[in-house]
Amino acid sequence: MTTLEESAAAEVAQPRSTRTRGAWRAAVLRPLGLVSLSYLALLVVCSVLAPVIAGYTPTETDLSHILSLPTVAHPLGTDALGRDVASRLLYGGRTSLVDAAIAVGVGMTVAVCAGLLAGYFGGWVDRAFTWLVDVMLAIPVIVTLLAILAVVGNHMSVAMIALGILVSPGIARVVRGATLAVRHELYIAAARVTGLPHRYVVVRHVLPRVAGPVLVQASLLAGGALLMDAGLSYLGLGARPPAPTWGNMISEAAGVIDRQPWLLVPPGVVLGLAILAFGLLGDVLRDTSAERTRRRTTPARPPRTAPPPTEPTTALLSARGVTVAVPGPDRPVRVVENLDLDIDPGECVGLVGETGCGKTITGRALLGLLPPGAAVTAGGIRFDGTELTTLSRSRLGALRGSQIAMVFQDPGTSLDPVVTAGAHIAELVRRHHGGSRAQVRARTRELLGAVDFAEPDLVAARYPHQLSGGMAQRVAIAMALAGEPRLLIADEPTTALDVTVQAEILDLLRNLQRERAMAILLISHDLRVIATMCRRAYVMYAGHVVESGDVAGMFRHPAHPYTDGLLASAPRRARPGEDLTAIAGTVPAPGSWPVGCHFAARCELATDECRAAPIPLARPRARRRTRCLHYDELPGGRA
Amino acid sequence: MNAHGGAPRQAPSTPTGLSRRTFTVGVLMTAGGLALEGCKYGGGDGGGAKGSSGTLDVGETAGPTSIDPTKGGGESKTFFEPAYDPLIYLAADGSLKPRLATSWRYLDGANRSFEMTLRKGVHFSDGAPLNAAAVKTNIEYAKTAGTQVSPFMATISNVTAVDDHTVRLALSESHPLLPLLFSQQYFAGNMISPKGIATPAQLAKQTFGAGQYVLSSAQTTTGDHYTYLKNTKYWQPDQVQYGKVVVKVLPNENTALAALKTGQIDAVHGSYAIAQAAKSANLGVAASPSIVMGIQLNDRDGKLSKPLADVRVRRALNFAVDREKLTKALFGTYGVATEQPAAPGQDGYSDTNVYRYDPAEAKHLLSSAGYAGGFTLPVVISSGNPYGTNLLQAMGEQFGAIGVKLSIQTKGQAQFFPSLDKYPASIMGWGVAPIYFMGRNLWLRDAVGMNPFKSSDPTVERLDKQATAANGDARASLDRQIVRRLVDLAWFVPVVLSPQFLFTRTTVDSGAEKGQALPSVYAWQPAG
Amino acid sequence: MWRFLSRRLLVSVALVFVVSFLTFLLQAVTPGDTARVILGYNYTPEAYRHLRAELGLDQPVLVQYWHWLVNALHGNLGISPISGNDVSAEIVKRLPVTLSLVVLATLVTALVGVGLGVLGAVRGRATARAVDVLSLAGYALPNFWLALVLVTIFAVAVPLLPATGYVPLATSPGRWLVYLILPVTTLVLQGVAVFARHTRDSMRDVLSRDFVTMLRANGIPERSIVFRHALRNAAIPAVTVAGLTFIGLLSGTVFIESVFAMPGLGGLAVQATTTHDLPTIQGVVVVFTVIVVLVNLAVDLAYGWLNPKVRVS
Repeated sequence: MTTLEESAAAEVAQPRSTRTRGAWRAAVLRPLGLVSLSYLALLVVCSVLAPVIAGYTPTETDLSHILSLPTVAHPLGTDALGRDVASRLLYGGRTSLVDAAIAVGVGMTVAVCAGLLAGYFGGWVDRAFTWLVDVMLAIPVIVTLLAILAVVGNHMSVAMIALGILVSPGIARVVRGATLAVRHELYIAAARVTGLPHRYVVVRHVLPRVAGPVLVQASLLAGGALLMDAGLSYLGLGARPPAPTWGNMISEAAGVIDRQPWLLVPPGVVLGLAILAFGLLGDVLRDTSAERTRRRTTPARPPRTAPPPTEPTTALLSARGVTVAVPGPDRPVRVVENLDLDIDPGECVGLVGETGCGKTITGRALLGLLPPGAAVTAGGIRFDGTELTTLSRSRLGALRGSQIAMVFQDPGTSLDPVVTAGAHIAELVRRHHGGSRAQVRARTRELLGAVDFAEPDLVAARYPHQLSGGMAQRVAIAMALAGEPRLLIADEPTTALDVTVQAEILDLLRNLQRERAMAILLISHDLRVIATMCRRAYVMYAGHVVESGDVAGMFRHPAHPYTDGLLASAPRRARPGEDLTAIAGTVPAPGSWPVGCHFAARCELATDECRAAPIPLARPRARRRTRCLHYDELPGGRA
Repeated sequence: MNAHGGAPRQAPSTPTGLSRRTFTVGVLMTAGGLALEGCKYGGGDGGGAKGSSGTLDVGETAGPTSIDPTKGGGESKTFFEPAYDPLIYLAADGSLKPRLATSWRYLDGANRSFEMTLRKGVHFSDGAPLNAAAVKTNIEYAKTAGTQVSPFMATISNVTAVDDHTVRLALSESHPLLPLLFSQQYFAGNMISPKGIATPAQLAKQTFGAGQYVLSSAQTTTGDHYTYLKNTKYWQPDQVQYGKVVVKVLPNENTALAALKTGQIDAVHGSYAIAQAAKSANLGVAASPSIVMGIQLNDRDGKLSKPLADVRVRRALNFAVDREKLTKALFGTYGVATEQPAAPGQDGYSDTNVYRYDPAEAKHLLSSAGYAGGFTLPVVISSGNPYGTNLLQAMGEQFGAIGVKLSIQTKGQAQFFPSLDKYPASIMGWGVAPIYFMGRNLWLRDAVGMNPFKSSDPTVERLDKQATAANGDARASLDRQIVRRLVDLAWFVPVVLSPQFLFTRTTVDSGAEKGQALPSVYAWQPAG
Repeated sequence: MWRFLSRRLLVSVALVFVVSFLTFLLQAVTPGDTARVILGYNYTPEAYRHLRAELGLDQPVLVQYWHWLVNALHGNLGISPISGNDVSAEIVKRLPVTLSLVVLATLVTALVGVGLGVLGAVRGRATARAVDVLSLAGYALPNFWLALVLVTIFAVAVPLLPATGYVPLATSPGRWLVYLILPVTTLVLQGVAVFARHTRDSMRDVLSRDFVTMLRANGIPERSIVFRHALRNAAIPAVTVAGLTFIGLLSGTVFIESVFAMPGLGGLAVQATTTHDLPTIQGVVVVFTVIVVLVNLAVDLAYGWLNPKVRVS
């Protein structure tokens, strides 16, 4: 059936995790899985117990009460011979479920054996397997079943065996994929090396690991087989009257549709629900095996009240007390706390810190581009006098690109793979300036020229995968320039690039800043980059700005032990692209921040006072801020 | 059934839902009374377009087995009758009228020599003349080519063209029903151009008749719709009622009914499934209860099922069936309960009722035959026969009450006939017909078809022999004795005469008459 | 790419041989042959032998297959012993019906599926849930049952639409469409669930990619991001799904054409099955196989055409 083939294909396209231990248990724990399983269990139990619970035998006719609607005596009505529909449904379930079981049994046996063998042994076995699967996948299932039935006559079990075999290739492919993934794992390799027999390794080690995908496929196959069984018996193939089948009941109902349309309902609904239950069960099993780690999270919400007005400032952008939270398991987790930041027009400001300290999320917060569920929960961001945190989506959208633009770390993934470089820029030009086709093209060429492309037309026609990293980043910068923004947020723009290219990009940014009087917020973990580019910088640690000030002074005389540590761990000529890990200990994860100084655990100067309460910002000298109680014990503090 | 409709099983596509082939025989032998309701409409519905240049749209719930009149049976009639004229016309009132033959007669008193005089100036649609040579070719072809009517023609030993328009038949044995055989109802009368007979493959794709219309291949999709245009060479052009006849295959009866209601078609043959709805929609409903349904107890010598060899067992089964109740449940007021292979008002029908519903008597007969504990009786039926299946299931329940377990074996339509001699009993479903014809299909030792175990009864054989040479009241009396003997032998368990239906809009007058078979499509006229 | 395509072609040709030969083999083991079907029960042994010889049924299976193969390669799939029709001509005549149905249904499925998928990806959880429930209902309910219900409602109870039949496109495009509404709707209900889910998943995947953030950050409006960028990227996997949908719906015609009495290949297959019309069922199987193969090739080509990485290199 469609869905089966499709799901098998999808499964192949996106190999899933094979960690499935307890998948059944997890499936039961999910409401949908529980409901589906319960319904199917109910069907099986009712079918098995049909002789006990059915009010009538399935063949018992009552010719004086034909085609009746549901009554007390016949809860689902009676058919054209006055037989009890409910009883026939119960008994019909036996045939239908046994048929489906045959198809599932045959299909899964063939598929699991073939898939395991191909995946486990590889080599020519695998090649032959792949070839055979390719051939068999193109066989049209239903008409082939019809051809078989045309030849063998009225034998539904033959059709179901054939169905199992016909759909097995798609499933076998899934099993093969899962086996292949497991085969290379260490303990399997070890088991093979120690000379355990193949059969033992396959049965004891490989099979349990591929059980997840197998269960998913079995469930989907069961649904498909039920559907096929009903379809064929609806067409009148394989009928064994007076024994009822669901498909046969539908076809009987169709025969009297003008006299009693109700009869169509019971078998259709029972069958539909059974197919649905198998489908849902398959989904749940797949989800539980693929996404066991994903938990329900609580999203952060912005405050209901507007942020307090900040003092008048000459800054282009001014953030005050900004706190950002992301969704967490029980409650939102703060990742940026009480952040103050100012950028003057035309100024290049650095934001520096280790990976995971909140730099990127800060950059995104300025643009209102936080990931789903994250929000600015306190504080305010003013851009040219406009409060951004309370701005409507559309007005914020209008601001992006034309006032504030952004480039990202990995140029390889920041361009749309199916759109040419030129089209990227042209779309932005149109968006921000409009104009005729020719004008747009000219402007695009101009922008590409501005980012130092000698042959803009050639580059414009290229797709992202045809661009080198540096070229892609320059295209990204050209995109950011399209709206002539007054502030460019550059998030680690050179981290993913080669050394020589890094210098080119930095030069380009510096020139653009100068020529266009464009402010830049340069986010980087690389002190050297900050030092060469920025006049002023903010140092971040675990969600806090711990120190800020003029780059030259701050780097020479740090007033926070973290800045000091950063500088100390960086060799005099720090190699670009290298993380700063020389400070003992690790950055605390968001959500487990201490009450007091976030750096206290790694700080040589820390005292009980540091750990007792949040640290206020101190001002050790002009244009310098530090979030440290003991800054005066540092060289920068003392000076 | 429904072999060519490509069809779902939900709607029986032949009127009684008989297997395709059995139904073929059904119409082959159709006579039977016709019940009419709301027949004879006056005034059209303003469609206006109908008339000698208008179009007649007919629905059929199954496509033809073949449009070759020697291969197709009753279920295919609507598809070949527009193009073929018979030698003799069986009119709606049951009388025989001249058509391509102007007169006919037996030359002796023993029904062994027969002569037909042909109409002059008649041509087939391909231009060939209809003459004695062409008729001789037709008769010899139908007799030898393994066609449906071959068994009824086996005794024709010699065909001679006396002159250009006179054909004489010599018979090896008496045959009392040659005029009926050469009518449209029994197919042998549908004359085919010698060119068509020379190319049987073409005969299945084109029409070669001397009828009112010619199949237009260009406007035909096999299995879906068949378009017939006027035959420019037709011998009585003023009798052609329509400019065009389109026969549409509508395998789902409910949708066929919807098509009829909305005027997409003017008439459709159908079954009881839509009779109520058609009646309440004020459509014309003509019903002809003419198909005997029940069970044939074929294994009368007990080769496969020993109990069947005992006449008491066979009679017990007849006593165990509540025919009135079954008839009402299965066919409402349109069916007629019956215990004999004959219809009221027809040859051979007897008014005495032998098998009233009496389970106690049935049980008594069973135990006196030594089967007090009952037995299992396998019965074979072909797939896609909902009415037959329903009947068997209901009969099975009633047999169950006397301890006989009916085991229903469904065979694909291809496997049904080849497996008749592998089961002691089979579904019964054939149209009542003159006793002479039925005997040759059903109960004589040399019957071709539904006597798989070649059982015979000396009394039946003797009575039949006498009847073939007899005429008038003498034959009617012999026919009655044959039927009575069959009922006593209990070779069959007939239950019901099930109806065939023709549903019509007010645009068309089918000319159906009470007590007769449904008329042929070329007899239909625009109404009003 | 071309290597891949030619390998696929080779596999496909092999497939057609395998499938056709298997049906012939099956025929050898079956009781009750075509000759008996034609004759019904009113036949004499001579007539039976005569007909068997006429149909070539008295020859060994391999010889019969060889004859069939030689003819098939010349476009002649034989003569149906039941209807006397040329099987190839019959298939050619019916092919447009099935293709009309399946192509239209696939297009509508794709449109609706993409629409629902986008809605599910862009809108909140509730919308996604609603789409899920609706589409799952369509997936789970047997299409022939749905068809019957639709016919009961729209053609019998409230006769708005023709319940059965087919009008060729060439005859009247308007009526062609009207006649296709119910069957296409049934097929769409069958196929749309899977399509919507795939689209939603790939849309979600695309929308979470870096370039989307980049485009947003630089002022590309959401509408353009969803419909120009995300959708175009999601279209690449969707082509595969469309191919699978086409094949799935093609199978669905077996039931749908029967219910709606459409003179297509699916109906022909059922009809041939019940009449034991082996040349016809064989022809249909071969043609279905060829269609599946062609669709797979088309998907491969479209995949390459849509994906610049494959196209340009």
